[in-house]
Amino acid sequence: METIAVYWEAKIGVYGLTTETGLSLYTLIFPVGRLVYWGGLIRSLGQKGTEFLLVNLQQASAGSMQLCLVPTAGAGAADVAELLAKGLENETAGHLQVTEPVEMIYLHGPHFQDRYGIAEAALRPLHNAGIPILSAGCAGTSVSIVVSENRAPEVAACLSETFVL
Amino acid sequence: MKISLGGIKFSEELVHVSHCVLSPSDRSFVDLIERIAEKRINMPFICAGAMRSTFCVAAADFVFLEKLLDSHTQPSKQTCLKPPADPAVCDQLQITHRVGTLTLFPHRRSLVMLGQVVEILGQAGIVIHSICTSISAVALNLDFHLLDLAVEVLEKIVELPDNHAPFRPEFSVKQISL
Repeated sequence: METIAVYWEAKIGVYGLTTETGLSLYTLIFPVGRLVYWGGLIRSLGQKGTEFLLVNLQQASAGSMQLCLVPTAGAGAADVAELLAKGLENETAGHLQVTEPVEMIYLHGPHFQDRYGIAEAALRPLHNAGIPILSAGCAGTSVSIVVSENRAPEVAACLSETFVL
Repeated sequence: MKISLGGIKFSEELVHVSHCVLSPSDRSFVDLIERIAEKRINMPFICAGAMRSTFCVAAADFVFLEKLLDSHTQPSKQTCLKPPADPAVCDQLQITHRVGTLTLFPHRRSLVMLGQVVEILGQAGIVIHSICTSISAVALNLDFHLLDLAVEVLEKIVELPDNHAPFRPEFSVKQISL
């Protein structure tokens, strides 16, 4: 069965835009075959009380994976760098980069996962404005974008070109 | 104690594309997703970094995407994650066919849940191609034919509602323009 939804928008409507500031972005590179090990460390972080705002995992070059983690700014965040750095002691090939402070903007809207052009509408204006995107994800009904400190207002202004904010 | 989830759902069959830019000012990824949008191809999953980005399109849309990619660059095709022969080479495009997204919700921002899921799937030999989180869900890209097995494995650590809806989509929403 196929259901076809027909609608037209001059600009893409969203339910809301949220900004979080004073965050840290942990970018971890590790070998593909070590995913179970790092899954265990991520679980340990959670057991210490750390929660996440964003997790992206994708293939990096040279047979490695790249994990981007933005924890919440609350309790447990201080443990993250220490635990990840300790985890690297057991890696023959791995790298951790901590970028802070960073800001995260996320917006969510109706059926974003079913509609073409959402990611392009979010990322192209930022690229055109020369705003470096440290990490971004679009899955489900959300778009999440991580940028450097004090860039969130610029991001919101750029997104207002393509989204009704 | 098992982790309580509201639900699990499967995507339709997807093609997974990993794209690498050569420098932060390289417009190739933005140009590619712009052309994908012009062709009205939906990307139900995208995970972007400063240098590498990953996205998925429906397998049915790949024939249209392939035409765009042919003019973009020559992709290296693979059916599972393997390191390139030369580690120094950053393939600009890597394409993985027969992928499916397993979505777990809600995640409640829990690294315990996320870490355990990654661990148990890895221990079962199920390759995770990529992960992206949204406000409430975790989307994991796995081999499409292993989605049912993945749920069997996950049921050791997660608890689903008794009245859970079917994992596979019973209808699809497709946007068209007037």
